[in-house]
Amino acid sequence: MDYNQTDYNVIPNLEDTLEFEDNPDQRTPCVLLLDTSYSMAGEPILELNQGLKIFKQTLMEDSLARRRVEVSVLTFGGQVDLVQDFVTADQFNPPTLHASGGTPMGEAIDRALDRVAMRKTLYAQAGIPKTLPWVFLITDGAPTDDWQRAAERVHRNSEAREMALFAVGVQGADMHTLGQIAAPNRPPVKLAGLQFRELFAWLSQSLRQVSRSTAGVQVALPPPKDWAEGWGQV
Amino acid sequence: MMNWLCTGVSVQGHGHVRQGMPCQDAQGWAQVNDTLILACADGAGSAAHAEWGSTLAVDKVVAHMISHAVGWRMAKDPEDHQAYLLGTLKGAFQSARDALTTLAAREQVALRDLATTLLLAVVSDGYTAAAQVGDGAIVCSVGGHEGIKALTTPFQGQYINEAVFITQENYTDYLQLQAIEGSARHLALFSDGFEPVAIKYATGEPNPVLFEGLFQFMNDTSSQEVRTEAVTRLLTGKRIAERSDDDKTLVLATRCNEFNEGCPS
Repeated sequence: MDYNQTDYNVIPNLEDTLEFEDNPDQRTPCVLLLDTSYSMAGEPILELNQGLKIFKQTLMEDSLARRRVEVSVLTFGGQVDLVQDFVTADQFNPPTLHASGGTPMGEAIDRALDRVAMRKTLYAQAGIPKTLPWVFLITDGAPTDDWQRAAERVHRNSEAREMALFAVGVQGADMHTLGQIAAPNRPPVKLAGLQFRELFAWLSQSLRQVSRSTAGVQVALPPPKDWAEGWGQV
Repeated sequence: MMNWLCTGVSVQGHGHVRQGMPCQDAQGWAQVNDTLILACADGAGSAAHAEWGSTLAVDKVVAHMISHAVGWRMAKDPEDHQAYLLGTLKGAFQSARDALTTLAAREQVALRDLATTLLLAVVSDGYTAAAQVGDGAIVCSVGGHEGIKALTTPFQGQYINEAVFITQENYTDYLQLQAIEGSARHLALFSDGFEPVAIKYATGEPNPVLFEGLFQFMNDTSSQEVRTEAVTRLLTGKRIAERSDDDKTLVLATRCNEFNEGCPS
């Protein structure tokens, strides 16, 4: 896959319509909604990129997760980019992200929720079972655009169990605003230092567990061990 | 006035690239008043000038349909119109074959050197009709809860590698003709390179997820340039390459409604 090809925004990916035939397994969709604004430049973005590699590795160690966990990457740094449309973990190539621009977080959240809704429609058409979609938001700043409308949508979608949004604030993040964006039952978590690797190891472990859930059996997520400052209830 | 969004793409298969063969598929479409005409053809890999055959066959059937669509009036009895449509499709095939015969004589090649399949669909005055010789298929959706219907099916001989072409003397024995009541909302024609993903071999049914996705995409995508690029990427993408190394053609048409921005008004 060619990662310079970030124009999924413009050119619809029609291969979507074929993938469920090859792999009719249940899906666990996860959108990584990543802040790549200028303030992430330097060590944070390097650590984030390392984290993505570990994320991929850890998913690949699990023969079910690699077929079932679907990853999509949306970045917001200056503009919102769909860097990776949904693919199963085995097809996922961790991108190398660069930091620049402002923090259009509201627009990014909106796009993520759109993508999730479209994905769910596709699952329904194909008769593919799914688990609750996750949107994993990581930011070190504050939205530079209108985020209130997106926040309302997050709250509505969470209540309706359309998806679950997890927000992680990196050093410097506006935790207050993040708290208003996240649903009340899933308050944001602060990343300890730049522990992106630990964060992504934890996320992939969690997705592995969720991806093996069967009908009626809900999985309890592992507690975040070493990457979070003051973890709430997932 | 009924308007249509149409997108057609033919791509060279990897097998043809490897063997230094050109893309031998062809496709075309036209709209005359309320009549939609779609065609595609797949030149035989074994024929020396298959790409002449497929291109000429498509041009001829489209031209034939245009000339008959101009000024045709719906017959008083709808049954008559259906029969008229089917008759015109048959005539179009014969005119394509005649043109191939003329070309073969002029170029001093054998008619079989121009061997090609041929698929033709028309939507007119409340009917959707299709004609086909050889592989590939024509599917449509009339909307509502009817789902995706196959109007024609790939030719099935005793063995998978048997094929039929309009250049054969007895091609009318293999001519599939089908008309249904109702104007299709969406149509797709495709050559056999696209079959592995488009038709479920076990049941012979069109793949509903694929076609619903494609028709939705046609409905949602107003730019012809974007549609062409997206279809090209699909046809050249790895999911299809894994299943077929032949040339691939896909022609899609979607009837405009008030929500399609890209429709001519």
